[in-house]
Amino acid sequence: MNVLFGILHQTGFLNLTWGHPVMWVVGLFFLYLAIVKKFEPLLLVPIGFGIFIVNFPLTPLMGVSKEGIPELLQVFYRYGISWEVIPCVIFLGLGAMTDFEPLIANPKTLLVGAGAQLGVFVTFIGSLLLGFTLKEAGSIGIIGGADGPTTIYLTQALAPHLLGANALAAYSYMALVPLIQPPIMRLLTTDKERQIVMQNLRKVSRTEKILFPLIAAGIIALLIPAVVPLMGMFMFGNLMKECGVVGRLTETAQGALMNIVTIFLGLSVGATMQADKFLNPKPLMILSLGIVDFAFCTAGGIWTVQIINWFLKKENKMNPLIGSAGVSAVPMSARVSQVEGLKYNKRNYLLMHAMGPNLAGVIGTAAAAGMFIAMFK
Amino acid sequence: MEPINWSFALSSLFIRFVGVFIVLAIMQIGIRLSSYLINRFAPDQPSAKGAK
Repeated sequence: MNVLFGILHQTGFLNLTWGHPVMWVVGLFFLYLAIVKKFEPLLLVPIGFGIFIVNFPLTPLMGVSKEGIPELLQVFYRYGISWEVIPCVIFLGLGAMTDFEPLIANPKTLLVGAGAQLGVFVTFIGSLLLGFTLKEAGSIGIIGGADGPTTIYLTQALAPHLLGANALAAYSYMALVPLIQPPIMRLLTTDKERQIVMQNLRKVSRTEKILFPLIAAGIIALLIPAVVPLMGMFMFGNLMKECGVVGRLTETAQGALMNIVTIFLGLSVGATMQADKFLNPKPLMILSLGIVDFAFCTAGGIWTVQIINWFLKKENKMNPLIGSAGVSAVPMSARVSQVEGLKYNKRNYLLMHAMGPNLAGVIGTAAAAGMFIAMFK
Repeated sequence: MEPINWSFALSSLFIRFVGVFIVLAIMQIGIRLSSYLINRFAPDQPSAKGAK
């Protein structure tokens, strides 16, 4: 009988708490969103499975063994996220996939990327009012930048205990960009503004494209050195792509390397969401703040375009619908601008114009993250 | 919980929001200047899409 009881104690059954099944439901919900609804499947499948599997009692995944050896997902988490390696490697891959031509051809869209950080700062204040600490508020604010790796990078630096909730909020809302943004875009623009047809972008030479990552990396390194690990890798990836002499490295960064770190990132983030740490009011508040954050970031981008338009001649005016793409979420928010633009003018193709603010949003979010790191560290 | 110094939080927040604009504005100037210099002194053909 004792043997039988001993065996039973080694199973998960006697160690289950009410929180475990709740977290299974959360994990399965994200798997449902990814598999059935196709929302950010590359990230939500590993995150959802990570949440599910780590919430079984006695599983040797996120702890440290008696001999002091970290368990499997703890290894991914410690060396990938705690050491802030994975977000930077993902930025390397993103840089190798990015074509900065729309941004170089129309550099004033960089300001739209800055304006779209409005929500980051508004949410910071909202988070403080809800009782979060300064560092926690900084990490929550960055969710609205709609940039997963930057959110993870900043949260790990300022409030690592919020990593799961912040990353999940960022990726979930990024997936919901096509639902969240259009009503705000329609609310803040007039029919006339939505029909503005923008001039074709000029062609950008190869030399300009090669020099861009060097100039951008240099400026960022001088002004906000705290985010050079992220932006330096981003620009290095882009330099590899544009220089055209390291095709094999570029292909690896865009493909295999990116896929490998995405698996580790998703599982590690999911694994941080253990029932005893996650089931409290804070994650729910973060999810609520996240949507407010997104709304203000979208509005900030649109308002910035409208302000810039005051100073432009009629033939050079920008369509404010591209302002919403100032939240990074590349390229989904640019596609939303395109779809919305076509609804009001069948010949208005805004995609390439919206890619400028979209890429500026990536840089703007990293700049905001750098500002927060400099503020608190 | 640590007490919040609201005047510090709000003023430094405002400065940093403006700071994001300044960083991106400087980057804009850098791009414009380099584009001007390249097109003025060393023009080349527009690059092929997705050059590898």
